[in-house]
Amino acid sequence: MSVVIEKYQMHAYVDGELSSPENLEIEQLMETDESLREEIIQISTLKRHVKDSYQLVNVPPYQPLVDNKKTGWQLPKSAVAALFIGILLGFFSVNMPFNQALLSSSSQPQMAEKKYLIHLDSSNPKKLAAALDQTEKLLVKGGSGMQVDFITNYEGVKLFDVNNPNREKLEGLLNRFDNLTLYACKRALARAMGKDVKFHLLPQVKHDKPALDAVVERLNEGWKYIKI
Amino acid sequence: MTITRKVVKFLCSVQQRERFNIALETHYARLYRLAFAWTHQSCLAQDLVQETMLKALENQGDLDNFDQFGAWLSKIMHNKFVDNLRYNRRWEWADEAEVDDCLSEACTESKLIQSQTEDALHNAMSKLSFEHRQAISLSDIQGFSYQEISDITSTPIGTVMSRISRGREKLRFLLDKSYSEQRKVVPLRGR
Repeated sequence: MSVVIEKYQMHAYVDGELSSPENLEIEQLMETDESLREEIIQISTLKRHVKDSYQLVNVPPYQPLVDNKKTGWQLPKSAVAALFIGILLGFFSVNMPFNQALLSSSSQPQMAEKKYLIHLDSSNPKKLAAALDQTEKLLVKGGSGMQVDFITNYEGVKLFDVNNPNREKLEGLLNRFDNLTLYACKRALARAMGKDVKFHLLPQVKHDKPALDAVVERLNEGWKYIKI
Repeated sequence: MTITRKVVKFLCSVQQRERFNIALETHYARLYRLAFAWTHQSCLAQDLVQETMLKALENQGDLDNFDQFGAWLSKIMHNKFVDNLRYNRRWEWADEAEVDDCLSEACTESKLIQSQTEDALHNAMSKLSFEHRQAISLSDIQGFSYQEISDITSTPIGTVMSRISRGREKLRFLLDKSYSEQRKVVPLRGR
């Protein structure tokens, strides 16, 4: 009785997904069945071709991201070591409550908390409203030392259209707070233009770089990131 | 003791973050190639990778084992891609076939790249359904096992096996077709 090897088994064999007895069975059959051997070679060649072909894809340079959610600071090793030694010295020479105060203040950076990046990528009215509320809240709470960048991409860029119903509120915020900056993603705008969608951006909106580049830049500078 | 513990904890978290950033950088090129295999558009692939990496940073606490970093990132990217297409309609998901047509339509940037390279394999890959393309790319480009692909895509292992087998068969068919068209010789005029 001849054994029929199904296609999926041949692919699984090439991918090394069969058990040892199944592998052995296929290998024994290949010794006598030329068409099976040819088929296995073709699948292997295709698999290698797929891998090699995507290895040649031109990869854009890596832009490191920094997570500032927890500390707001990216500390160099030397600073961490100095902090550690300082705290240990303090622990043995000064009383406990002072040390605790020192530690808690050093792990709560003040400057980073004064810079916020709000990122909106949706035109969902609820999200738009939430983003505007959040912006206003931060600006009111933070006072003049606060800096807020509002970045939109994808559908979010619609918020900055002159015909958007939120225009009045947005312009009100811009008039009240000179520490608010608006950005629209260059790539999102270019893509929208490619679909013949015309945007009339508010003149105060900057649009000289892709949103994600701007996000990465701010994160590297120690800004707090808020995704709406 | 409390302070020492806090300091040790703090140092560990700094070390962990450094390790995480290094792992991100190490996996970046592979992740981009995978994103490119899924989207076949440089601009979309860049967006997808950046979003994946941001999401990974947000959820770095969820990573249990650094040995699984590649699979973990691929799963995040899979979820991002599916969410963007299906739910946010960011890339205008209609149905599977339409999306694949849409994805194979190049943006200006990739049209230029495509006109320069004319890679038959990439063209053929872009004509596969997303599920087939994804299964093949996870297996052949990333080298994941069927079990890992099943975990990443939240699909039964039998379905993964079937997608890889059918996808490759369709890919072979498309490539054969493309090569036979290329072999057609245009006759010289004015003999």
